[in-house]
Amino acid sequence: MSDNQSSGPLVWLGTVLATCITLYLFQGILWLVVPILLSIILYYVTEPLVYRLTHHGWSRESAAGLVMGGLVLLLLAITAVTLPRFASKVTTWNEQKIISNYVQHGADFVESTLRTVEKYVPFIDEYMMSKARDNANWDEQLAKWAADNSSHTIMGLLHWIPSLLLIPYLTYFILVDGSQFKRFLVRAIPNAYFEKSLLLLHRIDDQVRRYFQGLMALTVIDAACLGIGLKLMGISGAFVLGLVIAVLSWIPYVGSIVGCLLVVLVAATDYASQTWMTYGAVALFLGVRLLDDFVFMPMTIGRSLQIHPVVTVLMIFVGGAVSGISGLLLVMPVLGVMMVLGQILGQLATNDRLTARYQFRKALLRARAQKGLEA
Amino acid sequence: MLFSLGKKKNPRLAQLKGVSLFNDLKLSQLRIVNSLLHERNYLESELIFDQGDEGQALYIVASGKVRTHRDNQPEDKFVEFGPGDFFGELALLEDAPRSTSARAVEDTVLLALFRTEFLALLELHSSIGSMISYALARDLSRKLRKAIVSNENPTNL
Repeated sequence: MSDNQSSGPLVWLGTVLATCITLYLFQGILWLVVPILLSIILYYVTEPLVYRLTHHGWSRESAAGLVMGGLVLLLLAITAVTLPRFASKVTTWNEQKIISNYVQHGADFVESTLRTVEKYVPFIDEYMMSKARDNANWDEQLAKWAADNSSHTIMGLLHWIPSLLLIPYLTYFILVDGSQFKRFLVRAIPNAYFEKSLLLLHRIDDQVRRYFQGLMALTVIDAACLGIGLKLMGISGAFVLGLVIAVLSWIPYVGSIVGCLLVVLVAATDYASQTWMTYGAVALFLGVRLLDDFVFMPMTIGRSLQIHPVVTVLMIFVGGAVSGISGLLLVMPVLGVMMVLGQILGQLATNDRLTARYQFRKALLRARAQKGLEA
Repeated sequence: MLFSLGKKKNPRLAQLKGVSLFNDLKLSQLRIVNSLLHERNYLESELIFDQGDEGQALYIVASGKVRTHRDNQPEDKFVEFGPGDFFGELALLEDAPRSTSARAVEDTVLLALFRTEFLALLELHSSIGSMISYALARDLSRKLRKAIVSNENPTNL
């Protein structure tokens, strides 16, 4: 039996259904799902460091403690430096209507772009363009909505802090006891499937490790490229913006669109009278995306999930429909896990010899249980 | 803890010390090896692996008895393994199909050491890995010499 055989339609259907059900169930326990998922990512990212320390004679516990302790201290230092600035900004955001200001400038940029298009492409129906532009003052409404909701959004984010504090704690225990926990789970696998299952699990573990380590490297490269580019253009908060956009691009396709919108809003606000600077920022964003697709991504993560782009986009919409924003964020990792489980179960269930061995053991147990029953 | 092996006195360690593969290891090193082993319980007559299976693990007999047998050989031509013995060692060295089938002759407890975990051991705890590799090479050499003396096909190892 080949391990690389592709999954059949039934396995795929099961995978999609299981993904939807899982996303639906996850809605109620997002406070736990998100830290666990982020802990697993952090585990794969920090594991090489722990491995190196162990290689130099450290015990697993002390190596994991040092790495996680160092990381927590670093985060505390960053928070101590940035929190007062952030808090003072938040209090002034509403007073100065900063968020609505960003949206207003973004809308002005769109309007100016429409005017430019009308000017240089006369065959486009000006009436239609003007009607779309003037329709119920959409830009003002959008700005008002942003201003009204900004404080709610910030308070919502602050609610996540206790959950996020779980991440280093969980990661430490995954680093220290993860392999023993895996061994504990493996005990549940029947003898017939044991060797094959463990082989597949090792391969998946290796693939997932390479994926997350690659993803982190890609995020750093993306954030650095965007940050340097935006800084050279003189855009405010260039490196923070670069990092936010790089993290957003974890959500395939949709993340890039949101990232591009952010670039437009910030550039249009910083250079309200120089529209060409906003075009420049968008060009930079597109340039980095192209580099990302053709150079950085093949260098770092490849296309390890190997999911067709159409399926990816459809599943993002399905995830959004099933459980909103959390669905958008979680759909790809959940789909990845379900795909792997589907492939393993598909391969094991369709192996007649393994099934026969499993049933033979059950027959042996049954015969043993029935021994002495007959008179 | 539910799945912790802890550092308390573990009877398994004394059992592992009796396995020729781990004879040279110290107690602290045996503890590391023990944390990599998977314990499996087999019933009398249960098949452990088939000839031709993708071999991934070496098995150590903790208790019970196991017979290995090649499909094209007479029924009475088999090798038997008891407590402290190990089989399937070629799976640690190469990614090749199993050369024999293995079946439990009586209720048996086996300890499986996977190749991926053995390779990690070689990298992370090279002194332990090299001692096990040396013991493995010694065992294979002994089997090879025995096969040559008895004019047997060495591939039947």
